[in-house]
Amino acid sequence: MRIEIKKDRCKECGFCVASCPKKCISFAPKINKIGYHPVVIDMEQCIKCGSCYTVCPDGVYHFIPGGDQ
Amino acid sequence: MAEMMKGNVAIGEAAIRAGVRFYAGYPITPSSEIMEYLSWRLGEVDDGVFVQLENEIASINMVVGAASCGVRAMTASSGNGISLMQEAMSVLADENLPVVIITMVRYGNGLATLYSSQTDYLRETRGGGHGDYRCFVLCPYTVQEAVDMVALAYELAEKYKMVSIIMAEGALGQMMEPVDLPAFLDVKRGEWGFDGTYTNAKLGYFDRNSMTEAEELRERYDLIKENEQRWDSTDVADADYVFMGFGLAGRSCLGAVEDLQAEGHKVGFIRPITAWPFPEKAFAEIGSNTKGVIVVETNAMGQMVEDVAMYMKKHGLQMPVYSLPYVYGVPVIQDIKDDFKKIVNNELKEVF
Amino acid sequence: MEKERKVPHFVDNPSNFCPGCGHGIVSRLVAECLEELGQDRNVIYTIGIGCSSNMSAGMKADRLHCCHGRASAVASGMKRVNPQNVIISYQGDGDAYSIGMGESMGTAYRNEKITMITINNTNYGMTGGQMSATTMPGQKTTTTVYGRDCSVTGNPFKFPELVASQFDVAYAARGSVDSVGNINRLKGYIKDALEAQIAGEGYSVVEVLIPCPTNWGMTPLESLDHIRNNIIPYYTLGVKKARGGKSV
Repeated sequence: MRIEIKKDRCKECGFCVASCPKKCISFAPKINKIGYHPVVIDMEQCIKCGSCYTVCPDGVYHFIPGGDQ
Repeated sequence: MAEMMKGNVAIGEAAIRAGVRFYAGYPITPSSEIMEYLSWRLGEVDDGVFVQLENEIASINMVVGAASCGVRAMTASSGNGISLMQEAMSVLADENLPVVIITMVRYGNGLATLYSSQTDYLRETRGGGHGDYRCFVLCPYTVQEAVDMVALAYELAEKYKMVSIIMAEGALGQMMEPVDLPAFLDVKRGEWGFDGTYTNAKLGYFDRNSMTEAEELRERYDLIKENEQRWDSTDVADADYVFMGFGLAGRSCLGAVEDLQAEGHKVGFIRPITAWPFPEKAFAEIGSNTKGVIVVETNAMGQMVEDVAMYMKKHGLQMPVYSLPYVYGVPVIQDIKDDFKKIVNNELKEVF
Repeated sequence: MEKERKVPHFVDNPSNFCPGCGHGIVSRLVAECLEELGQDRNVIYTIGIGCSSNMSAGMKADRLHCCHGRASAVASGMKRVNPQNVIISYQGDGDAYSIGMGESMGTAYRNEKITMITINNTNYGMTGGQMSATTMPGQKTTTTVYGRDCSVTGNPFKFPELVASQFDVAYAARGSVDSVGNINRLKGYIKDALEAQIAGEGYSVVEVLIPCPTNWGMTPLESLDHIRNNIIPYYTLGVKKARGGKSV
């Protein structure tokens, strides 16, 4: 499973950060095109549970079957 | 063969024959017989839908929904009820949705009265709701003309993607006249209609270009003004005085004109059939020797008279404009003749 | 078997909603349900006035913006002439319950075969956070600056409970987007509501509690806590009228 992050949609609400069971989502130091610090996932910790997709109001996450990253 | 029919009932039947398959409404005197008739008659045709709603706001909005799916949809009401519909009528105009609305006009402000009248001329011809749009306004003077106007109203509405209003006085809906009913038209869905497949996309609220839309609207209205003015006229060219009146007031006016001509007066008559677009082209018939134009209406202040004066100025006509507003009811021919003589004797002054 | 998780194609676009607004979650859930039911190209939305209006920006489905409060009436007109389409009236609490109380009640009263999704954020978001019919007792808004005084404003309005108990409707429920679990349950309610419509059972409504951080003066995460701690106890979650005629 690969996770695509549409970082320029992220508005830094933090719902995914709070919902992540592995606490492996954080905010990037650099801002995106709309001025927010977008999410980044620590893929070492991620279990691909999909909680971030479920709570995201802005369609940032796309879980794509196959592949590793 | 002509059949005696009450105006409202005849309009209801004409709607069925014009392919109307959706009616949503709320009763109001003097229009209610239209919905009473359609309440059972729509059940006799395939895909006919009739709904009585909690008020005129819900009614017109349900009509918006049906029209957006390409169905010939209709509602009918009168003064106050049409007031409640104005916001959605503005939406229909904005979304380019063709709908026909019948108003059987009753006199008065506020709660209004039950008297037949032409009190809503300015509202209907100016769009009526917020913003800057117009509706076709068709004004029948006989039950037969009202019946024939229903299909025409839809043709115009669909051709130009806008609302058509058939504006008749309450009395026209209540009176009986011989009528030849038109043939049944084929029922077809407008190609603009929603069908759930996203083939007729509408732009979202925040995605639109209001400047471009305004320009498009102006061009469309100019085209309508050029091509769709309708009127009747008699003996205008060499008249000393030209009468103008629409609907039943126009019908009285025509009677007065015929009487006055028989008495030897040189009078002519223009009857607007479309109140919007205003039939200004009729003014080309007025000669330079005409001494005045006399506007007969049934409202308190005189409303169409303002359009008459405005368009006369546009056409370079300098003669005085007289206003004969008979407030409500159907003007009495004798009253019109008496007032004409006051005008001739300079006892009644022009208003423009 | 790995499952793709992707925002459905017709709502997969950047939104104009504030950070932490719940609208985006709800519109995605509705779209997912439509996709799963094979109805994503057989749907017409009527969209209310308010923050809901933002939903249609870039949305690629048949939809009509409606006069403030009247979306349910427009939806009813569509459904009566296009019974084969799924018709969804997507409105906020101000649109559906305040200015549109008449049309919403009338539509439920007639048991029109449409689905209403109401987004309840307990205020008028778009106009700057004024009181709505669902504003909580004591809640500060820009028109209840000392907190909502229900002795003069009336009490917050519970639409699903009302139509479930008083009207002959097919389905009524209330969900929330405050947690993964509640979002998953909410999706079930939305799917039930749409299935009720598709089966021709009658009117279905799902009200959704969503955060409005901007007008509540809270961070997005504080807003979720506010829903859990203060709003859900008043606006209880769950099915209020189950399919098959059972009031819950």
